[in-house]
Amino acid sequence: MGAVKDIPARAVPKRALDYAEPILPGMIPDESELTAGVTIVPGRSYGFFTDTTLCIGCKACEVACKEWNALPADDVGLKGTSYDNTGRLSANSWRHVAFVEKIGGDLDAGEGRGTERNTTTMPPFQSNWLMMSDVCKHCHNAPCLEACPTGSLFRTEFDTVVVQQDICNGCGYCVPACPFGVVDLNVADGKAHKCTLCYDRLKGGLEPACAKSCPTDSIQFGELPDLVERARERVDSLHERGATDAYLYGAPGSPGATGDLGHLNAFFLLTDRPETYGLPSAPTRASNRVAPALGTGLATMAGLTMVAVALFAANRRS
Amino acid sequence: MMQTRTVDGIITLAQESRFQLVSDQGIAKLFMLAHSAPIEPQDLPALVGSRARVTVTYDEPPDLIAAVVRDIRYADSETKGESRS
Repeated sequence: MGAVKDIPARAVPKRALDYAEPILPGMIPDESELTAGVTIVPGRSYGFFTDTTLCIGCKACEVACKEWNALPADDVGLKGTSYDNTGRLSANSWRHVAFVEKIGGDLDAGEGRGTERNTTTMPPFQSNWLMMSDVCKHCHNAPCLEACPTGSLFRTEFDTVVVQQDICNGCGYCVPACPFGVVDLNVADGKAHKCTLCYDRLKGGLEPACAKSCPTDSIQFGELPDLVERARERVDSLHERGATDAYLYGAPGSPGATGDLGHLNAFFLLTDRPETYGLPSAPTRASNRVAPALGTGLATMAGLTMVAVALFAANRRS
Repeated sequence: MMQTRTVDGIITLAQESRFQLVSDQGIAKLFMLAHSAPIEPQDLPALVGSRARVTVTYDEPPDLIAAVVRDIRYADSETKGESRS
């Protein structure tokens, strides 16, 4: 189910009635107009707005992603740290719903009970849950793309970042370059894998599988300018209703859009520190560290050479 | 030591290096190409389109709900059967 908030109320039913038969003769042209209220046109910028205040942790997005992309389950079993059994984004899990439990009413906290930012005012032994469907951020200045020596990672006509499997040689440079820990190597095929923002579906005029399956519209797909506007309105609305800790992460000019990353095409509405959700507070481009690292290395080499020359000269004098 | 198995069937869908094969017994199973497999991801769409019967040799890692393809060839028309160890 996608977002249809910005579409005139009568437009969607009228178009939907064109496809009222239970068995359709073929694909619905520009189906995303019906499911997400957006027409997918090459050359425009698309992304996700994930509103974590709406996520109920159903993991429909994870399942839809695995179904569409034929991704297998791996490392099956409870992690022991959460009710989550996926654990993290990986080569086989391109969506991951994080379950963050905030324990409230800490019996040992004494006077500080419920006053800490990470605790809640819930009664003892009850808890609050933060849930967030994490995904590749499809960064504006994508460090993985910059690190790829083969050109396997490329920017698509929809302003998303995709790994071309026939070109990837499995060097793995993209893995440490990603500040979010998204890209992963598959040990079976030796290649890098990550979310493609359903590149094949976008080419067919379909909304990405995760956004389409989200029952609460926590994951919204659309054109980036529209999503940013919608997200800012949502933050304002939450602030008006008393949820003053709501803020955007990864939208232009907000936390997460730091370190020359530009902005994130998949951005989030959070209500706690980014680290609580497993996101870096100030992600950076790996390429920004090349010059300082090279300079430091050269300076170290020069210093060691000077010490060696001095020792050698002192030895010769003695 | 993982046991290597063989199955004959038709590839019904492919995504990158992953594909679903429906065996002659009608059982669908998810596979992914090993880096040592004789074909590449770009070869899979042609196999889906042609609906050719293939023989897949695979093993099943313990931490993965899918099989890893070690070898894949056009199936001998005489060959039948789900699994031969």
